[in-house]
Parts: sequence; C-alpha cells; structure tokens
Amino acid sequence: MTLIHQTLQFIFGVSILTKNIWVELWSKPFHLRLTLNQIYEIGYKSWPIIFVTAASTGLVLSLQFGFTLEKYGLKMYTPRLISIALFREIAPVFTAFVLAGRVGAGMTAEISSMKVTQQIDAIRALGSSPIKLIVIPRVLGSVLSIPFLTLFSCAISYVFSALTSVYQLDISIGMFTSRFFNKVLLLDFLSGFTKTFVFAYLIAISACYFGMSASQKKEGVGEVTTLAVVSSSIMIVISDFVLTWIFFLLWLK
Amino acid sequence: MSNAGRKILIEIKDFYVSFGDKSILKGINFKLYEGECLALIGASGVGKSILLRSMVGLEKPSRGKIFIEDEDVTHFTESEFIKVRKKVAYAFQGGALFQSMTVYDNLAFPLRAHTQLNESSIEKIIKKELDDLNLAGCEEKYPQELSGGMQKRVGVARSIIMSPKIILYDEPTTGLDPYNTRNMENMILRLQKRGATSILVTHDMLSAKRVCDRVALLLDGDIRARGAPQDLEKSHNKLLNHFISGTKGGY
Ligand SMILES: Nc1ncnc2c1ncn2[C@@H]1O[C@H](COP(=O)(O)OP(=O)(O)OP(=O)(O)O)[C@@H](O)[C@H]1O
Ligand SMILES: [Mg+2]
Repeated sequence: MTLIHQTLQFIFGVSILTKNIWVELWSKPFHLRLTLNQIYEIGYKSWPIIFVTAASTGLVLSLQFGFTLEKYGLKMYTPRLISIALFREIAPVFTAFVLAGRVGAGMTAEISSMKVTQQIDAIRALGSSPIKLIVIPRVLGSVLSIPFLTLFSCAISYVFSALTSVYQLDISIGMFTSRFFNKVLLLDFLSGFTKTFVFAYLIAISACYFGMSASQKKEGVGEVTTLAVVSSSIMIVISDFVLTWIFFLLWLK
Repeated sequence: MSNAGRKILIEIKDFYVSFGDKSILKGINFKLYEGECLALIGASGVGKSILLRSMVGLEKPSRGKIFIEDEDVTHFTESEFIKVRKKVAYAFQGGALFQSMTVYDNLAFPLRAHTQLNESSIEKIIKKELDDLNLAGCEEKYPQELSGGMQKRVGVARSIIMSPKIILYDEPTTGLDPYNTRNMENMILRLQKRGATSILVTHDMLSAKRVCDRVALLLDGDIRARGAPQDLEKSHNKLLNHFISGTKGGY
C-alpha cells in the first residue's frame, strides 16, 4: 500500500519537476557555467569507472560468445553478435547502471544535504530559483555527457573484445573489425544511442527529485540517496524494455 | 507610537500550517505595520520560524490568506514569489549559508543575481557589510571554517545586503556574546532608522525592549498578546508574564 502510494507520489513529483524544468529552461538567466561544471563532474570524472566496466565487458563478451559459438563451428559470428549486444543493449544499459550509482548517488547526496541545511530554501529566499541553479544544470549535464560516455564505453569494449578475439579465438583483427562494423551497425547504434538520452534524464531527474524531497524530519540524506539509486535503476530497466519494444516494432525487425 | 493610520505591510488572516496531523499555526491573525519593529516571542517549537517562513512563501498554509502590501500572495507560484522575496528578506535561524561558496561569494550571491553592479562596487558593499557586523577578514573563508555565531551574522548580512523593505530576523542574537549581540542590535536599529520594517524573533526580552517598539507572543498556534513592551509588562498580561518568568503557563 505504502509502496503504491510512494510510487504514485514519485511519478507525480517527477512530472511536476519536469514541467518546471521545461518552463524555466527557456527564460533568463541561463547558467551556462554551472552546466559546464556538471558536464565536467559527470562526464569527465566518470571516465575511469566507465573504462574499467567497458574493458571487462568487452573481454567477457568475447570469451562467452567466442567459446560458445566455437563449439558449434560458428566462431566467425562472434564479432557481429558482440556488436549487436554491445550497441543495442549492453553499453547503454551498463553505462547507465554504473552512472546511476556513481553520478546519481553523488548528486542526490549533494542536493539533499543542501536541502536539509536549508541551502535550497536560502536560494529561494534570496529570490533565485533552485530549478535554474541546481536542477537544470544537472539534468543538462547528464543528458549531454552520458551519451558520450556510452560512446566511449563502446569504443573501449570494441578494443578489448578485439584483443581478446585475436589472442584467444584466433580471429584476425581485420576480420573482427570488418564483421564488427557491419553495415547494419548504424541502426544498432542508433537504437542504443537514443536510449542513453532517456537513461541520462532518468538518472538526473530522480537524483534531483529525491534530493529535493529530503528533510530533517522525515527522510534524511542516506535514505533519499538509496531511494534515488533504486528508482533510477528500476526506471532504466523499465524504459529499456519499453524502448526496445518500440524500436523492434519500428525498425529492428 | 500608535499604529492607527499606519500602512499594513504584511497581513495574515485565519492562517493554518500543519505537518501531517500536527498543526503548528492554528488560525493565526497577524498584522505588520510599516516602520514598526516587532519582537516575536514564544516557546521553542511553537512555530515562530514557520510563521516567518510562511511570509516569504517557504511554507504553504493549509488554510488562510496572506497579504503583502495589500496583495494576496497566498496562491503565488514560485516565480511570482520572487518579487515578494525582493521586498521581504528572511534571515535564517541557522544562517543557511552556501557551504560550497566563500563568505564573499555568499554575500555576492544576491547582488550578482539581481543587480547589474560591477565587481568592484560589489566588493565595496560586501566590505562595508562585513565591517558593520564585526566580520572583517572573513571574505575568503568557507562557512565550515566559521563559528556558529559568525555563520549567523554572515547569514544576516546576506539577507539584508539588498536593502529590503521588510526584514524578518530569525533569532539573530541567539548564541552571540554580549558585544556581538549589541552590535547586531545596533545594526537592526540603523536599518530601522533607514526605513526598514522588521520582525525580530528572540528569546531575550531585554534585547526585544532595546530594539523593538512592539512585542507579540506566539502561543498555541496564535498570537496571544501584542503591544508595546512597557505596556505589556505594566498590564500584567498573565500569559506574557508566565512566558518571561519561565513559569509553566507560558508554555
Ligand atoms: N518540515 C517539518 N516537518 C514536520 N514538522 C515540522 C517541520 N518543520 C517544523 N516542524 C515542527 O513545527 C514546529 C514549529 O517549528 P519552528 O521551527 O517554527 O519552531 P520555533 O518556534 O521557531 O522554535 P525555536 O525557537 O526552537 O526556533 C516544531 O514543533 C517542529 O517540530
Ligand atoms: Mg525557530
């Protein structure tokens, strides 16, 4: 009962927040520097964790697909299978999950501690808008940098899966690359890349929503941080399912 | 000083604020007249901060109306409240300084947001403000490096730096030493002379008498006594006397 209530409250709150972002996005003042700061915080500072995740994903995919397919004499399909899995699903979803942890948790903790120490109220009392100063830079920062992190992740996974194939599966690098970057690739890539914008938005909006909803009396910093990471992860999975379905109906069939 | 014929700047009518099933303000009626300095006293947790916060739209009433200079702001949106907040400043009880900014940037925040002043004029204003509150030399410090009392004073400085018409001080002297208390009181008096109207939440009757020309007692969700400090003391208002002497009836 409380779970349903909380979910409805969350959906309602996020919709209101989205509406407010949309309204305030177009009016002055624009805090471009704050958005650039966020791109640096979210985008640039996340590269090491994305590098590690992407590298091991590439390695594992090569080994799993390669050795399995080899048994049936289908080793040569390995690159194509990896590229489909990677571009359509694994890179976007893994990147989003990792960042829901790293970026989402950090953002929620930061905003909620501002909330409970009344700094958010202070912004309001001084005649400025927390939506403009806090929420919009973070949402834009996420939406502008997470897709590129996904791209980076694809590149790293490609390098590591290619290396593994060369050394473990005896597929030459030329063969791997030509089969990996097959002509269908653009469609795979686009279907995955489109998702990343949605995931990025979901990560930032739940961080902002839960951060802002923290209070000294009810939910503290720790609690809202957990809630933000859990909800953005759930929303990533659900929206992934919905978007995949839509893409299949539209083009991928 | 009588209030007859004076303009009402803030009027609150039949105002209710509650959290869950706990009501804090229960049908409060309240008027703030132009030029007055009103001491708001009352037990801890009675809702003094909530009342001040309501006046700048930081709390929403469950019922009732609030007027600022005859304009009904009860249902104002956040963006409509911005113009109210330029007139009515709220000095937070705890200072509420931006932790990621230096004292200088904290004070510059409203000036940069709402004026076209260049950096050198901003610097001049901030220097003067810090001197006034005995805070010179703190410009480059972060709030975490300041004592509680210093943070409080920076908070007050930040809220009055735009010279607002109405200033709501939430316990600006609580926790300050006698020297800084006097200093703060003098500053409030100076602003008052320059034409500000203020509400001062305080637990210190002496301070209230030195600075304010009116006292209002908040008790059990409503204003229970109101008047000039001397009059109230002379009238032997029971609630007020209980409150001041610390006997049970005031709580
Ligand atoms: N966000 C909130 N959620 C639930 N209860 C709250 C909230 N904010 C305030 N309260 C309650 O409202 C009451 C009034 O709080 P308020 O801060 O106005 O007290 P106060 O009169 O300013 O006290 P003090 O003199 O200690 O500052 C308190 O009992 C407090 O517990
Ligand atoms: Mg208070």
